[in-house]
Amino acid sequence: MANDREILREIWEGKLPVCFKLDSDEVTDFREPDPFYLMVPRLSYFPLVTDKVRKHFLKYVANDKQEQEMWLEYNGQPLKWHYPIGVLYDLLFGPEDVLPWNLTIHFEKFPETEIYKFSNKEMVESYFMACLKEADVLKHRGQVANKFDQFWSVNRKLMEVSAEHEHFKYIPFRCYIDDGYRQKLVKPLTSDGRKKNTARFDKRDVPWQKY
Amino acid sequence: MDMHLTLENFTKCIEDIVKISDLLMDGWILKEKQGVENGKYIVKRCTTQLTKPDDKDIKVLVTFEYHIAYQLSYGVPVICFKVWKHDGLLFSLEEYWEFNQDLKEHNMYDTLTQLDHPVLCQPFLTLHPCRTQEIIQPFLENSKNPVISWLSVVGLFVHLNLLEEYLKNC
Repeated sequence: MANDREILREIWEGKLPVCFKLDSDEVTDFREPDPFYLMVPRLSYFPLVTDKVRKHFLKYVANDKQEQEMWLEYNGQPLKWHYPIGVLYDLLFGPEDVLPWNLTIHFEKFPETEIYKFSNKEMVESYFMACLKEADVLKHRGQVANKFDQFWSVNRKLMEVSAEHEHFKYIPFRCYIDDGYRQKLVKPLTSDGRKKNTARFDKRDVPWQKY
Repeated sequence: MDMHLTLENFTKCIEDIVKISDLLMDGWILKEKQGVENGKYIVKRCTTQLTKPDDKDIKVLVTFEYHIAYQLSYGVPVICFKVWKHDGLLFSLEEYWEFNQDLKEHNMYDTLTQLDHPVLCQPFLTLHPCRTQEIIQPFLENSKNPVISWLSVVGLFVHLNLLEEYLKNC
């Protein structure tokens, strides 16, 4: 793990240029608000980076809408804020699209059947911890921040195999396909007993093909 | 060695629940999403009145939609649900907490939280599955239907009452 430190740091520091615009139907001020530009980390979540965006657009929407939860849309699809930003970008950004990534801001008609409400940061943390817990159950049978070094001092422990078991129980992974994602129990060993990682996944491990 | 409720066993259990429900006209329906390993789950809707624990005068009529599905990573059943008020709006997590004293004393974000439905991948209020194994473990040997036994324990937390007929079958 430690040998790849340079690559891990590159991935950690990956950022995307995003241009946020308020949906023109929701503007009640006589002035059109300026778009808001931001470099956002790929390895983060939108609710953690959009405080300033919300503040910027708030004064242009109707008073009674200001208390409502803000949500983001790209090409008619609400962004699932509980997916990492980089995953959303890879899923939704088409080959013809150009950067910066143009996202539309909404305060009205929150699509509550499709995306989570996030009334506070604890909600984001709670979702993230639930994912972490699930991964830990898959790896260790459940026995066991935002600065790179702090993250790895914790993550190293999560990535260790326990003393009694030579390998993780299963490899925790998700395949984000279409509107949702798929998961499967895959052991970190091949049938002939060699170590397996996601690079060695075959069709049986990930049988969901995208057409 | 830990015993787990297998996916096959889970599927049999929920199919049996639907059979009992059909006799009682209790409303459980079996659904299936094609192409998903754990695609089978059951759904029931019912309307009930909630009372605020700290102010008995505040009552609200709501409709619950319960889903019981299989969580592959934990190898356990999961109960998740949506709650509608009668103006058609969904209950948020916080609103639901206000009406549920049983959950108040625990760390709420760890117990009842918003999670993805294990099959539909959409946000639902969910009793977090991380303690389910502990609850269901003793039933795996002794119960004919561990899913019913487990529901008889956790259902109370989410206003789901089981009719006696179910308990006779576990």
